[in-house]
Amino acid sequence: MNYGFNSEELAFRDEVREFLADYADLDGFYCQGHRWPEVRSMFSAMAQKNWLALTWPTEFGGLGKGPVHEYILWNEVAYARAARNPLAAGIVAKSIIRYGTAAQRATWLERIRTGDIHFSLCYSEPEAGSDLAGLRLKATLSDDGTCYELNGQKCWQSYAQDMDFLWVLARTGTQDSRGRGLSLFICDKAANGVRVAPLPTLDGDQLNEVFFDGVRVSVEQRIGDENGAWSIIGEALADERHIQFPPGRVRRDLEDLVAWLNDHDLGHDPMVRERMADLAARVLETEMLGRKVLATMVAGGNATVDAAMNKIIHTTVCQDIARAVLDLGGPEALVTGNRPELIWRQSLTETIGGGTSEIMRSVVSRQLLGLGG
Amino acid sequence: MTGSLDFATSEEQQAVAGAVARFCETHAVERAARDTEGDFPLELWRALAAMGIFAPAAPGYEDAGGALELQAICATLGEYAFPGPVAATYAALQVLTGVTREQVMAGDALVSLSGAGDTLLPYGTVAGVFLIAGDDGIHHAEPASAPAAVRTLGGEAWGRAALTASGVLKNSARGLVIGDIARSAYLTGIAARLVRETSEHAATRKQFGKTLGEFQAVSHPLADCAIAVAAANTLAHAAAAAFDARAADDLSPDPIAAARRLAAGAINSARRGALATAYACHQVYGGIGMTLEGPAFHLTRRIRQVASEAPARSREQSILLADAGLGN
Repeated sequence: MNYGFNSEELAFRDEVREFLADYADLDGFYCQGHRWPEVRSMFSAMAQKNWLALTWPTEFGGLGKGPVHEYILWNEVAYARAARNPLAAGIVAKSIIRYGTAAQRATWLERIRTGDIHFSLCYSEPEAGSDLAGLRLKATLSDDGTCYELNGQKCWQSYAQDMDFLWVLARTGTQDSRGRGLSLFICDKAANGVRVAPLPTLDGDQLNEVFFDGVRVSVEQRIGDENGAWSIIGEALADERHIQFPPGRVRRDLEDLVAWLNDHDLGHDPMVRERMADLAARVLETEMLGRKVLATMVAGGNATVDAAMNKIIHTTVCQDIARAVLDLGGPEALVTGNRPELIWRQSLTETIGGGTSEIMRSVVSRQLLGLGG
Repeated sequence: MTGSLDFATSEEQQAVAGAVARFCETHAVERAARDTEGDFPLELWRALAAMGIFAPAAPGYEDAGGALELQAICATLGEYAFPGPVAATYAALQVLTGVTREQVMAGDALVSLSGAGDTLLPYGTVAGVFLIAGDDGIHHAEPASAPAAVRTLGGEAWGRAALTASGVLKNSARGLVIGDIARSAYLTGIAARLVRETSEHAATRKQFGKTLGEFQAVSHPLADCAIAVAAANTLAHAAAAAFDARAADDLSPDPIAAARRLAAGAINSARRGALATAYACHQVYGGIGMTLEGPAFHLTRRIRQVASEAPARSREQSILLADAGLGN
């Protein structure tokens, strides 16, 4: 058993830290919507090192590294508050590598690898949040079989306002076909009939609604088989489990909270110390659970349950750190523009996005405990 | 750390855990764990010790395995709610020497580990070695008089007497870390059993025409218990690995710093998770869990008792707070 990294992995971590030193003020993790040009520029700089294709096979232009390097990279980026990991190089590219045709790989992978294009995930809909298999956005194949027409609405899309392309999950089967009737498409955000409308969010950023009104996408932009998307998105999700909730974020949150308490001379209060000790232990919990998820993936195992557990621990401690600042940090923590009140607002979303806590508990109760619910 | 990331349970850990489980299955441990009136089962304790289970991680017993084996043993003893000073014994074996150490190793001398200033001494009426876990380390101590018997929540006969402490024992820091790992593992073991058995109950007992486990009001609290236990177990595992890896860092001024930090997190996590599990599982069992002969109380009272054992929470809090940057 070994919970740490080997010397080569630690050297890579140091290289990442050196790179990130130039982006210490980027603050794109919380505020990407306001910092997209700078975040995009950082992704381009990462692409110069081929880090966007860190784990892609070398035959597709990647570095062929394993999930440990990927974890180290995005955990350090999260700790530095620089950005969230881009979906294009992860979910989108890995799905194209796994299921795309040779032509699709040639069309998309190089542009993603170089940071030239970025994607927004278009899965959720107003009536299909956690119950994704119930989505309604319809993709209808033309009579001549050359293109699909997309009609419907997506909802709660992160960063869609800034992205170049949309990764669209659409219904190609009957409505009652559930997950068996879904297909994946790449859609140019600039295509006729696409409209992105902002949904301002309580963290000062925005989600989006994306409307598709007779949007035509060519058959060549369908990734994988028609009605074959469910397993593709499941595998893509499994690919990302180790980097979806990097513990560097909560370690930094804890450090920020400690700095706040020290700056305001609150660190001696017994009530503060009692609560902070528990929070410090819980940060250790998510750091080690995060590495356990990673270790399971490295060993080729199924990390579904470990990842669900880690998501619960990670997101609840993230919220509890934010809430502790407001509980313990005195009225100054309420001042708009100070970091505590921003994190308090922002962290409310953590137990919702990426699979709600209720879904995660159901994964654990069903797959580990053999219960329903 | 120079190897590759790996959280798997080793063959050595599985082997020692299996041996302890077989011992517990064949030695009426369940009856001893449920006992609330009798004397401490000294013969059972000696028989357990005769397996050599207290040797892992002890100085001079390197062939017996390290903290990872110790963790596996303690988790299994927890599964069976094995009575006695399990964590205290492992802690003591880091600091004791000579004949006393061999007596403890053989189960002939029971260890009482109490907090500084405490007069309530765990297993005080039957203990042969008295230790105090203070802020500065582990001290040897002698009772001023024969401890008077006191019954406790866990069904154990403790004792009451004042102690006179001597100086800090060598290897105290290691002893406290090993004690944290052992107690964390014991608590996660017992809590894991509670979650498993309560889930089995929820999967079979029907109310309103459905099994209890089909109600999210039941299954989700049990999922939270499983998550808490997994978190604590992972931390205990990491702490044990860090302790075993200390040889690689022996030139450092504090070769067990990483293990100390993780072990402090582990005991905090294990205590919190095991107690939450105890309360949640009682709720799921309903009236069935309210009876003395029922499936839960002998486990939950043991969780409560072990969670309150020395060292006090203030010690782990100091470690965690210092690590987080909130020093004294």
